Amino acid sequence: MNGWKELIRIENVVKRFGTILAADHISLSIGEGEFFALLGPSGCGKTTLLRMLAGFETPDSGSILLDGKDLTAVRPWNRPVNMMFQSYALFPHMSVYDNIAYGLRQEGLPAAEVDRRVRNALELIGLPELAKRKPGNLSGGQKQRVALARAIVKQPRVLLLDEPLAALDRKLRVEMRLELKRLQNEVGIAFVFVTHDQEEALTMADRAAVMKDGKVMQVGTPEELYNAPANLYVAQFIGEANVFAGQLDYIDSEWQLECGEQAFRVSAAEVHRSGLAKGAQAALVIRPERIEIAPTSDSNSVNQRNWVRGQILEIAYLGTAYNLVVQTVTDRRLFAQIQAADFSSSTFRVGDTIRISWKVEQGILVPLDKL
Amino acid sequence: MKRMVSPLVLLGPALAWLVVFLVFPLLLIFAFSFFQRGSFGQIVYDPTLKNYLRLFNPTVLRVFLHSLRLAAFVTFIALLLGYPTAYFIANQPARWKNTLLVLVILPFWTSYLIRTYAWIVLLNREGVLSRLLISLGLSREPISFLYNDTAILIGLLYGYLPFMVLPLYSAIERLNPEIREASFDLGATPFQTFFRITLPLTLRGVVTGAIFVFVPSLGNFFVPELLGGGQRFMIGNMINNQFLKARDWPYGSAMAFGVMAIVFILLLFQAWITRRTEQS
Ligand SMILES: Nc1ncnc2c1ncn2[C@@H]1O[C@H](COP(=O)(O)OP(=O)(O)O)[C@@H](O)[C@H]1O
Ligand SMILES: [Mg+2]
Repeated sequence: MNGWKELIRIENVVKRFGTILAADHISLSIGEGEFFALLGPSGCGKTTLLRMLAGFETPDSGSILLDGKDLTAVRPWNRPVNMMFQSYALFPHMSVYDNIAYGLRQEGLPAAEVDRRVRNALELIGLPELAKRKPGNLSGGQKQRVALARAIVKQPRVLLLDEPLAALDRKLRVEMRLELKRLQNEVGIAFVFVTHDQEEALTMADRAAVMKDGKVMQVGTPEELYNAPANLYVAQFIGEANVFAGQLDYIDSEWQLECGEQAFRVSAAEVHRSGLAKGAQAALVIRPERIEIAPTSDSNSVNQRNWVRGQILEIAYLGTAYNLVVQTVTDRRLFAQIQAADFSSSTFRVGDTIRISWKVEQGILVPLDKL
Repeated sequence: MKRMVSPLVLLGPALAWLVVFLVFPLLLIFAFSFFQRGSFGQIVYDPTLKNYLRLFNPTVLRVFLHSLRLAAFVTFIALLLGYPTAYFIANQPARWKNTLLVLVILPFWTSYLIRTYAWIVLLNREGVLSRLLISLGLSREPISFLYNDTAILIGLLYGYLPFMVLPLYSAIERLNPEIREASFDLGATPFQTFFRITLPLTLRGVVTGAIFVFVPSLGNFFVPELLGGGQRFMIGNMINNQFLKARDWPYGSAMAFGVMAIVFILLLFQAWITRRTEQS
């Protein structure tokens, strides 16, 4: 990454609630001005990690550094970090203006300076006319913007956002993704953004950490997470995945995954990337849009391709593409996404037996997670 | 059950109860307050405003003022003790909250009167507190803690503290803890957060609790009777005396309505606060 400079460093952080391990030896670095997502299912410890960054929870062990300085002993009101809460947590007895001014007044800034910055912030979120309203009289989207303005106006080093879009309806949520991204560009503050929605993380984040049960499973750019997942969990959490599990083998100077009913060829590059050796338990992941289909009568070469036969169970038209559910002879369900231009609905009908194939190098090899 | 039960039918029993046992006696007393005492203590149905004018004599006013001060002081101390208690309970894990709340209302299981007698046992010259001080060497002679304003204060505070804790608890418990954290996050210390966020947002609980303590403290007559030993008078005693000793029911009724006027003004104040905080 060009000009990437570390801002936050999380080192071996552990946090327990009774018997629950909410953070299990988490280590992460977040860069200056970076849009960083914490992604994982509900209960995996995203909020806990965010609260440790804000200072509301103290790690049992490990440390959190900002600009190289240990934050552990710094109380929340002294941290150059601000948080946007999942509930927005606006002060109900104060106007929008006073909500946004609250943090600036704490700093003891002169009234004129407070006024200038509050008005700028109101401008930034596009709600200057709502300054006098009480939070109780705002829509969900407006509350969300005010909460954002209240945190941003402090010009923190890092802004923490806990599922900021989760409470909005879908249309607004998609709009706000772009809006947030624009805002982050404009203010240049690092955003740490919690979400359980992988689509949200992929479309917005520069980098994301995928979490599970208090552990970080992988950190990477959206492309890395999608195309080069470190394990089966990430492969299945990010995007759709067709999965074949088996044992890795090396036969006739070619890598293969033995899946019982069938063996699939695996590219040497993938074996190298996954770090797996001959005999390892592994999974081959194929993204639905990498799959091609052909009638069984098709006699084209299937060189450099893996293929299976199956029967079409469902065809769904999505405008630009068709989604197919195919049942293989071994009773496995595969998902394929075929571009509308490559699909002829007269050739392929529900019930037809077809040949499904993908290029060897497009199969993603990951270790088979232990349960 | 019928689908369309008239609300009046549901309300009926309670309404009838209120009319018979509250509204009717009140109207009766209100009427009495405009009549006169006969020479044998009977009521002479001869309309007059004299009873109300008699409220403004210095002795009565002094008792009124003294009672108001004492009740206000009880309320203030109850708030100082009740707020941290309610705050503490509201911030416990769910399974502890109910246990602690039961402890708060546990005293209600026996009569307030009987519990006031218990305070005599604790506070008198031969009482538990006096003996404790002697055995600790803090005092040579037995001390009576009874028969002064402090004893009354303790008795009222003890009796009415739960009425302060419960509304405060419900107000504090309703507060989203993230609101307090947001204040910390924006740079406010816990002290600043308390006065700028927590207290204003629980003001309704404070006002409700204060009224729940102030009103019965003002009207209480058996605590001053028992712990004040009849030496220290409160309005309640004075009204009680008019009815039972002086047998001047009209005058007693006028006093009772004097107290009710004060209470009514307080309720208006509470309604005003409630409306103001409800806007948010
Ligand atoms: N204050 C707490 N007390 C007890 N358990 C908690 C507390 N906060 C979080 N947890 C537990 O820690 C785990 C992680 O929670 P959280 O960080 O909120 O997850 P997420 O935000 O990813 O949904 C969950 O199992 C949750 O129940
Ligand atoms: Mg969460």
